[in-house]
Amino acid sequence: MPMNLKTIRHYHAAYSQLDQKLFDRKIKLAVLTSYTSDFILPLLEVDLMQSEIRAELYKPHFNQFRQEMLNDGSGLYAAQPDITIVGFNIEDVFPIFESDPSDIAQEVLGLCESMIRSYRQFAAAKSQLFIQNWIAPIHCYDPLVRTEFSIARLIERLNRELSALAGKTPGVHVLDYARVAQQCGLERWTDPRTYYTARIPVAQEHWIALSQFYAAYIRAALGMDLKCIVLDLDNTLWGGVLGEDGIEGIRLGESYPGLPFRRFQQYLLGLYEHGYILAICSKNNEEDVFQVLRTHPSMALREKHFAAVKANWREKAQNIQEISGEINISIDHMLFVDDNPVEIEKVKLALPGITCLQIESPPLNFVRQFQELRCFGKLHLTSEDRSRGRQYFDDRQRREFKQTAGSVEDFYQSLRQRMVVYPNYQEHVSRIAQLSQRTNQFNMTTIRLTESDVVSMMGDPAYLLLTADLSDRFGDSGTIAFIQIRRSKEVWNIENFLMSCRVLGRTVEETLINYIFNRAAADGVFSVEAAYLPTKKNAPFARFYLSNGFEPAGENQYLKRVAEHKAAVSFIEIIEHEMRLENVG
Amino acid sequence: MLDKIRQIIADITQNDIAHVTRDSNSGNLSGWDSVAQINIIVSIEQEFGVTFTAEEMHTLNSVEKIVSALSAAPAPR
Repeated sequence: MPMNLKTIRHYHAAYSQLDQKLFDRKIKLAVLTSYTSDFILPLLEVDLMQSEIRAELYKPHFNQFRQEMLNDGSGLYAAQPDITIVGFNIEDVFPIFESDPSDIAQEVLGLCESMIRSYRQFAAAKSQLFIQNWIAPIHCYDPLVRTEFSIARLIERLNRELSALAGKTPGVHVLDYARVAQQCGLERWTDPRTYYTARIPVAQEHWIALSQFYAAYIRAALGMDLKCIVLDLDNTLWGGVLGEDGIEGIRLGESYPGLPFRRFQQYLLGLYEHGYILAICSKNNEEDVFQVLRTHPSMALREKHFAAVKANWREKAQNIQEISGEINISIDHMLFVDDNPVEIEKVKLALPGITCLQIESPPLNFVRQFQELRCFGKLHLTSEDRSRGRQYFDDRQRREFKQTAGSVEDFYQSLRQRMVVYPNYQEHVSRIAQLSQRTNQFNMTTIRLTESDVVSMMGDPAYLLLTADLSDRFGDSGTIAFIQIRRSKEVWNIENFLMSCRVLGRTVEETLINYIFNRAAADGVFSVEAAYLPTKKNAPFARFYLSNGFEPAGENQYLKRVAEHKAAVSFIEIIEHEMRLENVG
Repeated sequence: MLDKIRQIIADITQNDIAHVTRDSNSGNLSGWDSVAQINIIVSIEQEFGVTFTAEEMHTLNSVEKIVSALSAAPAPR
C-alpha cells in the first residue's frame, strides 16, 4: 500500500500499522553498530513493510558488535538471523588519530576477517552478512592533497580492501555506506548536535535515504530484484511521436532536447549490461520502430538489446502479457515504463503485480526517477548476467525461426542443440544459487539456496549437484538447469530439479532425466525418487514426474525403478564435463 | 501550533492525539523516551523550519517547553 512517507514523523505514524498487517515474508534481521542505531531502525522496518517484508529485529546495545560477532554463544547466533548488518565507525573502535595509519589498516581488516570467519562458522549457511564500509570522521584533517598520513586516504584504502575481502566469501557483502553518504552530501552527512550528544552519526535529513538504502540491500539479498523492463518509445526513449514527427523529427541526440533521452538510453544500457532484460511495448508501426532501432544514428539501444519488441496498436496489457509468456518472466518481475498516465493506469488494472513507473516530462529527471525506484540492486555479477541480454535476443530469433520451420521435429533437429552436464562443478556455485533464487516456475521444490548452501552440499559426498549448459546454432544459452540429488547406495532422491523457462519445449528436461537414469544405472542404483512441492508458481509442472514415467509414492513424492526407465526421445547431444572435480570433493 | 506539536508527538510516541495534552512530558507520556525525544525535536525542526541547540534537543522535553521555545524562536528564514 503506498503511503505518504516524506518525513520521519510519517514513518513513525506508519510504524503502528506493522502489527495489523499480514506479510508474505518474515525475516530475522540483526543490526550491530558501534553507535546508536535506534534512529534508523523504525524507519527501516517501515521501508521493509512497504516491500511486504516483516523484519524481526535483533539489536544488542551499541558497541557490542565485536563480542556478538566473534563469540559462538552470543545473543546474535542464538537469534539465528537471516541477515546481519554490521556498521562501525573506525574511530569508535581503534585509536585511529593516535596511531600509524598502516597499523590501523591491518587491525581493521583483521577484525573484519575474523568477523566474517566467525559468522560463516557460527551462523546458518544461508544467513547473509553485510559489513558497512566507512567515511572519514568529521574531525579528521583532510589536506587538499591527501598524504599517506591522512585518515581520509586510509579510509579509501580500507574501503577497497573490504570489498575484496567480502567478495571472497559467499553470502558476505559490503554495504556501501560511503556511497550513500556521498550521494546525500558528505558535507552535511553528520549533524554535530546529534553526533556529539547522542552518538548518532547521521544528520536527520538523511535518515530516510539511509533507511531506503538499507532496505534496497535487504531486498536484493532476498532475491527480490525485478528482472525485466518493458519500455514505451514515444516521449520515453525519444522525444516526440514517431508516427507524427518521423525518424528525422524525433528528439534524440547529443544536444538538447534530444540529449536527456540519449542519456536515459545509456542508463538503460547499463542495466542491460548487468543482466536486466529490456523489451519494447509501444503504440507505433512496427516497421517504423525497426527503422529507428536499426538506423537512427543516436540510438544507444539497438534491436539486439531487446528480448521482445511489441510495436502495434493493441492494448499494452495484452502485449505485456505476451512478452511475459514469450520470455518466461512473470509479471511480478516486470517494470513497465511509460509517460502516459492513462496507459499506466490501464496496465496496473489489467496486470496486478506489475511494477509501473510513469516518467514525468521534462525528461531531465528520467534517470533519477529510475534510481529512486531502487528495484535493481544487484549484489554481485555472474557471467550469466553478462550474457543474459544476448541470450534473450537469440531466443527471439529462435522463436522467429520456429515459425518458419516445418514440423516440431524438424525444428528440434535443425537447432543442433548441444548440452554439457557438470557434476559438482565448483565454478557454478554462484550460478546455482542464483538459479535457485530466481527460478519460480520450473522449480520442483523451490528450495532456495545461497552460495554457502551450495558449497556445503558440494563438500558432502552424499550429494550430486548437476548443472547443464545448453547451446545451439543461434548461440549459447549458458547454464540453464540445476538438479540436486541426494544419493544412498540403492536410492537416489531428486531433492530439486529446476530449469530456466527460456529453454522449455526443447526436450532439455527429458534429456536430463535420461542422463540421471543412465548415471544411476551405472552406479547400480535400484530406484530414483523425486519430490514436487506445489507453490503458486510451479503448478504448470505438477505432473512433470508423472509424465516422465514416475509413480506416486506418498505425499509429494514420486518413484521410478531404474530398470523400468525407457529413454525418452531427445534432440540434444549430451556431453559430460570431466569428472575429476567430483572425486576431489 | 499546539495541535501540530501534539500531532507530531502523538505520531512519534505512537499515542492517540487525545492522550497528548499541554501538560504532557517525557515523564508522563508513554513512549517519550530518549530516542523519541530526538525524533520529536528533529520533526519539530522540520515542520516549523527552526533549529535548536544541542542542549535544547535534550532539554525541550515537554509540550509546554516546546511551545515556549517555538514562540521565542525567530521566524524561519
